[in-house]
Amino acid sequence: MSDETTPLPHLGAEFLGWLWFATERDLGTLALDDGAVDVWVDERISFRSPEEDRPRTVLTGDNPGHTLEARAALAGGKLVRELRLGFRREEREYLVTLSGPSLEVKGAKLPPAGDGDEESVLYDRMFFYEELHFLVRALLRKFARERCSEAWFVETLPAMRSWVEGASARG
Amino acid sequence: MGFLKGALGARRYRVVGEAPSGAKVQWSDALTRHGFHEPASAVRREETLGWVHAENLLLADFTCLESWLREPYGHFSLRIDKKVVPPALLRAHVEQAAEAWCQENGRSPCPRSVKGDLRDQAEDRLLRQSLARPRTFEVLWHLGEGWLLFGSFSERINTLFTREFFQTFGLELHPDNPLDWLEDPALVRGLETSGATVVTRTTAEEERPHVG
Repeated sequence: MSDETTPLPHLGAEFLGWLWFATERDLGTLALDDGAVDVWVDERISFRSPEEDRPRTVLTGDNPGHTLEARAALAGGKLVRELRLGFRREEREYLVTLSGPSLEVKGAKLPPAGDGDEESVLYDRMFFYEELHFLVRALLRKFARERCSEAWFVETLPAMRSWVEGASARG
Repeated sequence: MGFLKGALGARRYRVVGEAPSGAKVQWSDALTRHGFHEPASAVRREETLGWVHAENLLLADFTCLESWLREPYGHFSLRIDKKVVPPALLRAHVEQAAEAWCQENGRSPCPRSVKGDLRDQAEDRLLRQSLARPRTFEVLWHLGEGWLLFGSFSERINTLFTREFFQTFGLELHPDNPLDWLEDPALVRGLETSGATVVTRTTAEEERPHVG
């Protein structure tokens, strides 16, 4: 868009927190403009305090998003710094860590490339990378629409607060 | 970081600037001009950097388009070499040389200024004997869409990379900004003016100023 925009410092944490909530609220399938995608929190969540960007708490293992420690971190005012996510679209499955205000892609595990030469492997992997990036962009747009709507204050925020306090994201 | 295999992680940039006419040939020449070359001095301590082929860090000639162009992508690597003398080894050599100097000159202890000279001599000798430690960082540039992936998250390495990229191609690299993914100025404005959500407060204000 413009050359002047700078990342909003809170945007990454807010988006990742919402995405974690939305995976539970929407039972793991999020509707996008061009279809749906399965999304789940995978094996790692890293939190930071609001005042600094360094990780303060890291939860790993199966379903860290469902642990009491994870809710306690949010309830204590910590923000999500990095989230390990899984995406499934049609038969293609991705694992990726989204990190920081720029939502950088780290440790992305892509679907297997074909058995061709290096060049065709590169094309396969870039196709998968671009699909992964497309999904993240589409999810961010979904978040932004919800965040900028009236429903954010009437529905989403109260539901997120209840969820942080231990209630089901489904209300 | 694995553009060809393994887990993929990369910092994403937008490439900003005008492509010259006949850009690919010109960029081939620019890559070759800024290709990696061994430093002239074997005792050079500073980092040496330049472009190399993505699949072979010894190759730095890009005059053949096929060496880096995988339409619509450009694929190459930044090579950074540095020679380092292990401090413990240097200290041991300096102590040994100082002891020899004391015996030869019938004096003890070895004066500080002499020790400094001995240290420089030992370091030069060890640097000449040691191999540089090469590191490579992959670059994947979508020439048509103007975005680029760089295989390092280190701020220092990214600074070296963006500087070298500008010197080579005359094009600036801007870190990718999630706000640009929204493709809707109203949403960008909405997020920019909304502040950060505080989900843990139920009675206080709904939002607070941006926090780091």
